[in-house]
Amino acid sequence: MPLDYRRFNGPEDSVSYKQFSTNFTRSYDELFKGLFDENGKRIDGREFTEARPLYTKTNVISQAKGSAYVELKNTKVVCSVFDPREIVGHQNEYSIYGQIYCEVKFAPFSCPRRRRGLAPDTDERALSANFKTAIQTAIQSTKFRNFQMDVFVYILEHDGACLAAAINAACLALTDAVVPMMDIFSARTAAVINNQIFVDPTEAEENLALMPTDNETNHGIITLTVIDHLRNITDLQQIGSIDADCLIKVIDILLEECAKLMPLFKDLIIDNVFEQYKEHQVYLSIKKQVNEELSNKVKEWTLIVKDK
Amino acid sequence: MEEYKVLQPFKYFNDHISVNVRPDGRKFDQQRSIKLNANSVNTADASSLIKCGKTSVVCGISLELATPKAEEPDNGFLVTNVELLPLCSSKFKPGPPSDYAQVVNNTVNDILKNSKCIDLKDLCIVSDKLAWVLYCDIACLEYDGSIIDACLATLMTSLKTLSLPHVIYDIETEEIKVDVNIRHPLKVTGLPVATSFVIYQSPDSNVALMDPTSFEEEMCGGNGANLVVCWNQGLLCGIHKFGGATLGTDGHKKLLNVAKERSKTIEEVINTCIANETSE
Repeated sequence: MPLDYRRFNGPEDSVSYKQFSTNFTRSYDELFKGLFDENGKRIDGREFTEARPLYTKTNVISQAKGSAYVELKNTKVVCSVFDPREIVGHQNEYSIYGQIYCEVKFAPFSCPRRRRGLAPDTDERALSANFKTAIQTAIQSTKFRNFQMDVFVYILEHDGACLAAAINAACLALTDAVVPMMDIFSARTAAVINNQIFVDPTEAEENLALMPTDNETNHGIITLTVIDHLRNITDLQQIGSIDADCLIKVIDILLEECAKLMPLFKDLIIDNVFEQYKEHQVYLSIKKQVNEELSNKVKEWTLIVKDK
Repeated sequence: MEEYKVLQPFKYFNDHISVNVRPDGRKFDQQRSIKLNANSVNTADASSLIKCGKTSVVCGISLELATPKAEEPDNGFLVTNVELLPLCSSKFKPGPPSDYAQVVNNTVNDILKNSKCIDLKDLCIVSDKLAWVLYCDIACLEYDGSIIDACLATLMTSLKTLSLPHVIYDIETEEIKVDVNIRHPLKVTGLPVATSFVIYQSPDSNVALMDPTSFEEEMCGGNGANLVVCWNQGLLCGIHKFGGATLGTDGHKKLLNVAKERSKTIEEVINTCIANETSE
């Protein structure tokens, strides 16, 4: 890899200390056992079809037009959306569609197994491309013709389902930025390990789902994005090896899970609208007051001028 | 008022300064409120998050092992990188870091190295064979001025909460074993605290504003803060002046004292945060 002259680089041969710890090299079976507690449930006490609770907050970055923070237990994601800006460079041809630029980035310290480099790698680029296809169908890009809009996502901590968390954050950030959209959308992830479906997997479960096994059982990760009212699947991504019956089963489960997120998003959006309306009212009253004071001053001054 | 700020930014700013108040209602030597949290990211070996007004910065430290350099066999590595992400402000574009980002990165690195708060010899495990590499990655999540202050505070908090796992190195077989359950805290001597100022050239006299916002930085002409003063427990460990208006000797003396007072406050904040963290 070429040396990065714009940043400080560490030694080339450095490796994470975790590789030398005793519980790094464990076999598939040991890892598989580690996913369950003594009652046969998942290690964090969830059922197989139970998703983690989603925590969200909008308008977290004051400098951006719209922003959102999403937390799925330990998966933490920030997303910000900026005002459309004119497209610079290339030919400057007029386009009837607005363009969307997406960038998903992992924090160097976000992954539990290794440190990520600062320059974007192929993983991040693939994730960005996926993220873009998932969100761009919902955006009415003809409303900002010949302009480009930037959507940035930063993953602070990766504990599984980070693409789904990023897409959910983007939905809230876009509504916070008042971008014209068809409808709100949501995403969920499921992992299949040894024919067992795990909804909203953690990093340990995702890792195991992608591990090659000797026996031919279903394994893999499926991420699904759906636009609420249109029932339009904008992005379906499946990696691993899964048969068609199992995939259909997973899609049904994920559609249901995505629908469950909708009331939460709607509540949040309605709350935000109310708050903004209140703020606007306060702003208007202040403006009125200032204008009155100013006009009074003008009256006073005109009287003084007349007297002289 | 908002329209006035957008249409006539310089006049808007000057109107405020001429009546001795800053656009956000602060006094000239008043800092913004600080929120500090340690160990907020579980995947990092040590981490902290700071919020100074509307500037928020997160720092995470990842530990790695490497062979020391041949010319310095007893030294470990300390690699700090500041990332000004495009998500934190519309000023920064995606792609490789801009010149300004590199300047910030370099300044933070200089202050940390020169203050000698980490002895690189402490990071060496076996001379010429094995040493720790401390990757300190600082990411700006929200940019509203005084970035160096925030970066340094969060970096120091993370370093102070960092502990190194126990390593057993067999010289004959060159086998490495790491015991994650036994951890030794890293020795940190000193605590550098940076304070940013902008210097505004008003008609009567030049005034210095402490802990500037991004708007104030823009109004004072510099790219970022004009003056960064760094105190390390009673000793100066770096003064950087990046353009802006001039200030006499008396003015400089006064600013140094103001920065010294502030460094004590920040020190207290960091120590309280770490004490709270360890008591939990």
